[in-house]
Amino acid sequence: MIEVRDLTKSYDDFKALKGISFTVQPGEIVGFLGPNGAGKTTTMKILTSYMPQSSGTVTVNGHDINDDPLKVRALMGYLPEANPLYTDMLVYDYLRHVATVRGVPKGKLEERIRAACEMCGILPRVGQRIGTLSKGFKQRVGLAAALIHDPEILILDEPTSGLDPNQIVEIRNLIKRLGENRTIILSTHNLPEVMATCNRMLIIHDGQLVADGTAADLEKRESASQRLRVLLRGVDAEAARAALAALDGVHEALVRPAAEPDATQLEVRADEGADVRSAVYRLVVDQGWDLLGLEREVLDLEGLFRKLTREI
Amino acid sequence: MKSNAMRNVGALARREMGFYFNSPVAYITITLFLVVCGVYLFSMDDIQTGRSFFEDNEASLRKLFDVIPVIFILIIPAITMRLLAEEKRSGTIELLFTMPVTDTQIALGKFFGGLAFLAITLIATIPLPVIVGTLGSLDVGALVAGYLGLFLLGAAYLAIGLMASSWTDNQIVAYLLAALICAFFYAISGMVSVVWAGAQDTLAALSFEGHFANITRGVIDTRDVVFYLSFVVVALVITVQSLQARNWK
Amino acid sequence: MARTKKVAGAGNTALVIVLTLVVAVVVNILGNQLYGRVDLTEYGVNLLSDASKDAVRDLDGLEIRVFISDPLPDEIPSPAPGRPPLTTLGLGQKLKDKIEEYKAVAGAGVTVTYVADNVVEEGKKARLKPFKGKGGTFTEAGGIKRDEYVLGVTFNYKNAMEVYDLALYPEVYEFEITKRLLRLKDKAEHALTMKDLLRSGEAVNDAVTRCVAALEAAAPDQDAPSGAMMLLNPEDTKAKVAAYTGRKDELTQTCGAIAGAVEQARTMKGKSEQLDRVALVADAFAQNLDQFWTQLGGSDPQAATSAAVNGIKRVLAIGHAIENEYQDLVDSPGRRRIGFVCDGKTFCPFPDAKPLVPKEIEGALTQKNPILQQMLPAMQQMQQQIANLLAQINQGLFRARGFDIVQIDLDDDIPDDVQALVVFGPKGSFTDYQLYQLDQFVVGGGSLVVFLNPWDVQIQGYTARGEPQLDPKAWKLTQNTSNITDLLATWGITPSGALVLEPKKHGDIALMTYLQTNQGYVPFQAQEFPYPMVPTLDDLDRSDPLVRATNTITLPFATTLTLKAPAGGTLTALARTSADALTTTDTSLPLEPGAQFPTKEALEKKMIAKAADPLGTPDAAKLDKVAAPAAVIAVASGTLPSHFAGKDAPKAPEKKPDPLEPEPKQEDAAVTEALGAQHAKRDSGAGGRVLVIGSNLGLEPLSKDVIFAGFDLAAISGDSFDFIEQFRQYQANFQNWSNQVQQIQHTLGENLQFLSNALDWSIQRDALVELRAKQIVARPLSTTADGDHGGLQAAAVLVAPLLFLLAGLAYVLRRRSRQRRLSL
Repeated sequence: MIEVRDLTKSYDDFKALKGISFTVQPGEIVGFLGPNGAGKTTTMKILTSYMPQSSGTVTVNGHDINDDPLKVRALMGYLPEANPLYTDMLVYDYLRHVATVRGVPKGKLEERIRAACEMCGILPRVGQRIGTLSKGFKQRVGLAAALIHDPEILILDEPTSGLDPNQIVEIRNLIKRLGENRTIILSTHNLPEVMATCNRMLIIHDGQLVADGTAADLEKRESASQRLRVLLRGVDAEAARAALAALDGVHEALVRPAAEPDATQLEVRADEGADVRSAVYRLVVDQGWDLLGLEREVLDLEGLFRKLTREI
Repeated sequence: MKSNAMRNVGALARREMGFYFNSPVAYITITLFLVVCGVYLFSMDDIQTGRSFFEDNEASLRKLFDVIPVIFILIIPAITMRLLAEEKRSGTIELLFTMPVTDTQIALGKFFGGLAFLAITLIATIPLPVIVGTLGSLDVGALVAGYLGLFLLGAAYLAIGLMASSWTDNQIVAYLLAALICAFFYAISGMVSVVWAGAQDTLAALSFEGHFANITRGVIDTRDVVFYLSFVVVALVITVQSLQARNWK
Repeated sequence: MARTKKVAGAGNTALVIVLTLVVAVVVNILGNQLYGRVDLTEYGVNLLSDASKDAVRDLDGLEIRVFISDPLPDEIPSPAPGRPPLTTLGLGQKLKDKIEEYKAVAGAGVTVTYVADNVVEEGKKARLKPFKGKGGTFTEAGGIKRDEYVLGVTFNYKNAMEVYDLALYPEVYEFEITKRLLRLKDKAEHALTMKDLLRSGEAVNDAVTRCVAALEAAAPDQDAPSGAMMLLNPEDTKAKVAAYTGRKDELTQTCGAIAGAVEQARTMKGKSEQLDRVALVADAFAQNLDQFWTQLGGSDPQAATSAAVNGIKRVLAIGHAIENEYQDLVDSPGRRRIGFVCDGKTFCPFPDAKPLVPKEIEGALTQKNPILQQMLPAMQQMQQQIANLLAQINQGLFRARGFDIVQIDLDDDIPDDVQALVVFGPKGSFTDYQLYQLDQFVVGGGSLVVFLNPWDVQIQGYTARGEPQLDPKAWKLTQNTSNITDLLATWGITPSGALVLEPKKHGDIALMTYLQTNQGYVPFQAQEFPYPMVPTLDDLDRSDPLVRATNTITLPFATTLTLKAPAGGTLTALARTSADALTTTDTSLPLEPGAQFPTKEALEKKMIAKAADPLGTPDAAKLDKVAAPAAVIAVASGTLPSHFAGKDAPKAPEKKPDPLEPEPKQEDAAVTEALGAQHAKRDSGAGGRVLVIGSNLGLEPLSKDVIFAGFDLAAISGDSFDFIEQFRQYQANFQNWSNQVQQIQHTLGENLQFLSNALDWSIQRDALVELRAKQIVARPLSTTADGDHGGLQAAAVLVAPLLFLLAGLAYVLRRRSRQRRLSL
């Protein structure tokens, strides 16, 4: 459905995208994940043909976005990052305006507006001026406008940013509902959001795609190794590291800065499947070190995200 | 496809009209315009002849038609300044550019929105000729020609204003640019011939004022109509090109 | 389907913009070649009217040469003094456009040439007057030679030519061009019948011109920078004498042709006034030349020097004068002149140069009566003032408007090229023969325009003591009687003599307020009062171009006309009073503004006053209501009967030799007889037209006879003559004349268009009447707009915004209610 190949984008000297390729299948809800400035918004703007790419191709349902932008645009609904709206218009008028331009036939206008409003829960607000709505409702109006023409593809750029937790939950649920019968690409820098709504995530960092897969895929990939955090007191850090590293099943041990004074924090990396915690415990007892803490770190997506997007 | 284009242009134009008339903008602007016109026509001495309407004792709106082009230089840029500049500043241009409409349709939609505003402004002045008509016998033909002339002139101003609005996201800048360009082309022959007398005729051919004078005399000359229309077309083409500049590499 | 360009570049954009610009420019340039125009104005003010189209279509083979200086200066000083300079922007293009319009109508029958090189020189050659701009070049002598420009057109048709120069007012282009085309046609047609006359005149002119050129070439003036201030240089003078003496034979031979040419022209004497004048000037030239030779060759060296310096100047001046005379001859074929009848105490716009007291007896008189020594110069001064005024009116009202007017003495024959006679405000009667002349003129197909002068009104008139009569009771209304009414009655237009009052539609009268000082009354300020005796007529016959574009005509002190069409003739009332109009013949009508229609209270007051003093205040004047709108301006045309039908023609008066004119006009008995034979009495005739206007537009007669009424040389010489008193009376007469004009001055401007129309109409230039109607379509505000404008202004200013805001409010409310009801 959407095929992105070797997409790059440069603003003057700055390379915002350094060659991204991925495909999105019909029905997928893809989370576009990455820290601020990673290139999420740029990618979305290119996908919606708001701005041209520097190189690479994007095809949507077989239409090249540069050759056939109008067809591509017709297929999509788009909620831009800042959710710009004509604040002077009534919700109803705005939706009607968008629907008309989006090519909804005259006879179906009311029906579509009603459906969109219902879906986004703004039915009671249709007679209100957009400028007077709360942020959450504005977001819903934006969303309603994006799906007014019942698009096959919905592109949502940070649909929950700036909302309060309750609103976030509502919007997430809405997206989930919407994703039941269409393709959605949503971008966020918020991992739980992706976990809550998406069935696939693309992690982008510094203009490059660093991960692509379902949440389970990624979790599995990352949990192939495990980490232990060991907190000791009154030991020689280097000696302790060497001793730990020498344990059976341990790849390596690293000294990490500790939060407490005269404590030493060490990170121990071990093979998957080998539980080295008892070995470590025994070593500590043998050496007569004071063990302040021993913790097995579960490598979840949060960590994975941090790991993948950490500045090196 | 054609009907799609028309539908899109229409929808965009209607949106602009809605903006003007669902907010105080239009009411303030047009009321001000009408008051200025009425006061100038009936209570002030003519700038050129120095005589008042009643001293002139002539049932004619010529005095008004002489001054409206100048008032338009101040008012029309105020109408057009927001057309694109505001969309850019508020980001709504992103919605516009990601909808299935071409840049040409966007430019035309905005232009026709302004044109409708202009038409309503002119219609609102109709009580003035009606009053003058009750005071004396008015040459209706000349009046119609005068209105047509104002409409064409206003259309050219609108296109220029839209063009200026497409160049910046700052409404003030758009206003000043548009007013400057309109004023320049209005009085080009007089201003520039001071410096360069040889080009007088060429410049006169470019002057809004010269082409307008013919029409207010009551003659619809295809040359004047073509002149204004080509101004509109050129300004709209530049607007479209400036919208497409976002696609530059 | 429009597609967004695939990744457009800046170069691409630039290309698109440049291409658009090029296309726009090309379209505009093409559009300038191929254009159409629609005139939406009521009378098609801006496009050629049918009259113009016909005029140019009639001239097959017309050649038009257009002279337009390029570039023209920005602005040029206005030809009319005291007016702001004219901007010339686009004038050339407008003239071109107009000429092209004519060409488009005539098609191949007309050739248009735009003179491109040496426009100014070529233009001058074609007798176009150049005009000067602000720019110029310094001459070697230190002066500034202003740049010259031409803007004009020449029209050549057959042998005739017309020039339109100084084409600075685009709004009259059509009028001026069509006027010349019409004249050109007449001229060309008549030039054929006048071929011999013209040729003879040309021969005379050629001979004189060649002679003048030879004389000038013989002893050219030294190029003296100081011009007229040049002191006589004895060497120079001697050289001149020598040059002329040396070349005498050669020059005499060159100039010898004149005598023959004049002789030839003399054989046609009486056929053309203009040719006669050419011959006369040529003859004078020849005589002066002879005299010059005699003096030059004489024994007195002083006389010879004087001749060489001054005598030759005179000769040359006469030689140059022939140019104008000849031009007059060339222009004379087909010319239509308008004669102003100066009998019957009419207003006659021709200055009378003849002094009241002939120079010859002035000395004798002043010796006898020393008072006259002061009085005569004062009188002469007054006479001069009057003459200047008349000359101004003549020029401003008629000549500058293109009317060729000529003074007519009805006791003499009426020249052939006079096509119309104007009798302007006759205050007195005509002799039978004068009436007969008028009558026969009309019956013979001429046009007669009569402005009646039914009432003599003295408001604030000056007494013989030189004081204005400020008491309204002293103001006088006197009925004039002129027997012209008898003549007009023949054609069905009978002036009723009743003064028209329009209670509702009328103009103002300007009365002077005076300050009383120890030196008598000093005029302070004119103030306008509404005045029903200055009726404003708006019931005009719009089907007639004469008044079609005239919104209203305001005629001071007018009379109504009773119309009864004569057999075979048709009568049209051009202007009528309103149904509310009143008429009166009661000379006791109070003349004070506002006193004509006293309010009820005022009348009651009057009754009380009357009871107290039965002789004090007179009754209100008797006013009659008009039964129906009455005609004030009317036209008679068709077959008109003669006033003298069935009667004997009155005898022409014997020519009294004027004792003060030493050389009475020489009349060739044979010619007079021949002309007399032509004028056989007619009893009726078609083609003549009579236009009668029931008012003199406020122009009272200003002739010597009227102002200096009672002046008699014989009386002056007598002892009993109180000259001082008499002189005061003259002064008062003159003062009263200008008073009367000033009182109704504002109506004059309004009526000018009508006056011009009437004159054009009279010389059958109906096309021009039509064109003028188009040119200045007056659209005055109705009289309801008079008075206090404050309320009207406020209303006018507020109505549009209020209506708009009301509509806006309706829209907003509707939207609000829809918004409230809005649910899905």
